Amino acid sequence: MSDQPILQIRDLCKDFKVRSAKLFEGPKQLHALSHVSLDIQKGETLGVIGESGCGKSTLGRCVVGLHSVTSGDIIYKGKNLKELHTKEERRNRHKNIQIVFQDPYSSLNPRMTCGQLIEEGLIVHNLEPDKKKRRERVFAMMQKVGLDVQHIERFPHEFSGGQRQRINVARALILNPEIIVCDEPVSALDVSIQAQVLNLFRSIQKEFNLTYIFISHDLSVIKHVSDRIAIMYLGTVVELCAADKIYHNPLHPYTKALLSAIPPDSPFETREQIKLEGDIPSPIGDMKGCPLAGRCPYATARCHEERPQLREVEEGHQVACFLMEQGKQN
Amino acid sequence: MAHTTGVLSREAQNEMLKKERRANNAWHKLLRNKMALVGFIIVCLVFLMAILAPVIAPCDPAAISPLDKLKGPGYVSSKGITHWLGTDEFGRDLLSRLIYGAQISVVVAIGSTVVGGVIGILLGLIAGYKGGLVDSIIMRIMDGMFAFPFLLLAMIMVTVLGSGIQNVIIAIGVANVPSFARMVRGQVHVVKNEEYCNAARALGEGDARILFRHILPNTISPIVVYATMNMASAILSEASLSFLGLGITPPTASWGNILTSGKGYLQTAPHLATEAGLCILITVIGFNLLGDGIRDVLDPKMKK
Repeated sequence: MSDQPILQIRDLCKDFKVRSAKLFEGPKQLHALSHVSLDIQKGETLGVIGESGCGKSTLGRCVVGLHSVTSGDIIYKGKNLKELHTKEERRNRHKNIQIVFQDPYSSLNPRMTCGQLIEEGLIVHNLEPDKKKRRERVFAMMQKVGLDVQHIERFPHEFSGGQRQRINVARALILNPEIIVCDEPVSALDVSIQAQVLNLFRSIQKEFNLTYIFISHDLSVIKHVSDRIAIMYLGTVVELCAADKIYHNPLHPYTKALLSAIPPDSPFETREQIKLEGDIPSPIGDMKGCPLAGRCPYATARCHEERPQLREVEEGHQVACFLMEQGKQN
Repeated sequence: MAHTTGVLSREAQNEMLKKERRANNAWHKLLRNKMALVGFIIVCLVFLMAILAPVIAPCDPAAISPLDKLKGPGYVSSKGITHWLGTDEFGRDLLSRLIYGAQISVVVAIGSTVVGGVIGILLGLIAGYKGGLVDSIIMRIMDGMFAFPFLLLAMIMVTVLGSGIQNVIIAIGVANVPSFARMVRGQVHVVKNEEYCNAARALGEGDARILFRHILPNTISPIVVYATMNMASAILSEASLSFLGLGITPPTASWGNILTSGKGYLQTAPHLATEAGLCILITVIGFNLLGDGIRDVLDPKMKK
């Protein structure tokens, strides 16, 4: 798998302007993403995990083009998505990178039938001008995601959450994309349905050789679906490694704290609990030092001054922490 | 039962789809909604009356007969003509005038609502969707128009354009633009940040398609209701303009000018204002019922 990654994210920053509450103060910058770099290989599932507000959804939305990036590059198959000049190129971007949204209730237009919703992409990209054939393709896709033919004339409100999420998946899938950004696709569903939808994701991945960027805040879901996991904190990736490794050998203090928050399997099991004091610092305004410095039990003076970079500690395991660098030197 | 596989035969599936399509069909939904049906019938009758006025009117609406003026309903004139709804202050047959008046009133009501609605909805959509400077410019102009009283605005327009039915329609329509625009803009603000608009963007849809396929259908309910209410007020606006001598010039009958001229005879001949008022009332009720019905029909959740 030493080919060129299908998607490269380089130094991606996204700032939002926040209007100040005070009357004569200019707008402030909210740093939703700061210097995120990730490589995504074809056919893999990259899990992105972090607590709410850490920028994981923003990352997904930047990749599909719902947010314009402030700086940095997103390179899809060697083509920088910033430099899409023709309409055709921009279309292709949307065709190849699709998204499944978190909320299955608000992400479907309530005035369109299931068939129309799924068909939309084919019409917009003019992939199937013939109406009858288009319907056939919609049929086929619906069956693939586990919807019945009689559902085609129904409106979103007549479906359950899981079924709606299936419509969402079908809508994304009908364009035959290479990458699907799954923005917490199961967090709005109850647990039994979650499993069904996750299995659906897995089976279509095999069938279409899809690449997933799977965003979630649910550790068990991420563990189930991902090949690699990126852990995000306050707009930065703090740790990146293979999915199984992260549970056995977490290196970043934040990851350790996150994992120690999973309830133990047995009540008699004792394990090291790492508690982070305080709240996440505000992402508004300029930042200095490691974002975790204020809460980290191992923080040193250097952590408050400098921002650690993501560095490879061992094969396929990257961590952004000074502790690891020192640990290696010793 | 052999249906354990859950696979239905092709025919059964088609049958089922046909049923669902029928359930979604706007026409069928309208027919199933009793009140909407009543409204629809009233509106149709008014339309028929307006179109067939020359055929069904018993007399010439402009024929003056000074001897028979201000007579009550059912009066039989010296020439042996029965005036079923009485006569007005010039002795003209009121029934014929009301029938001919429907032409003007219906055309003005619908015309001005369409003019105001189309311009207002487009401006509101653009202002709400684009936001920023475009929004500010459009909405400040609308606010400026709001600053004038409605009737004054229409009067200015008629004075500039001159009287005549199409100018009255344009005047009342343009005076209606700000309220349509403001309402639509507010709705667009709510809808445009819904996740399904983001989904459309992620699919690569252009602005126009998002606006007309996703945003407009989801803002249509209050627009339809407002538009039907607006028809009622347009009939009355036309009456006010005619009353001021700026609308339809007197010999031509309109419900508005029959009503306003009847105002002077409320004590001696109350039937004048009453009958014209009833015509307006029934038409307005018809439009309102139809409007409510259309709103329900357009709402996919109403599937009785």
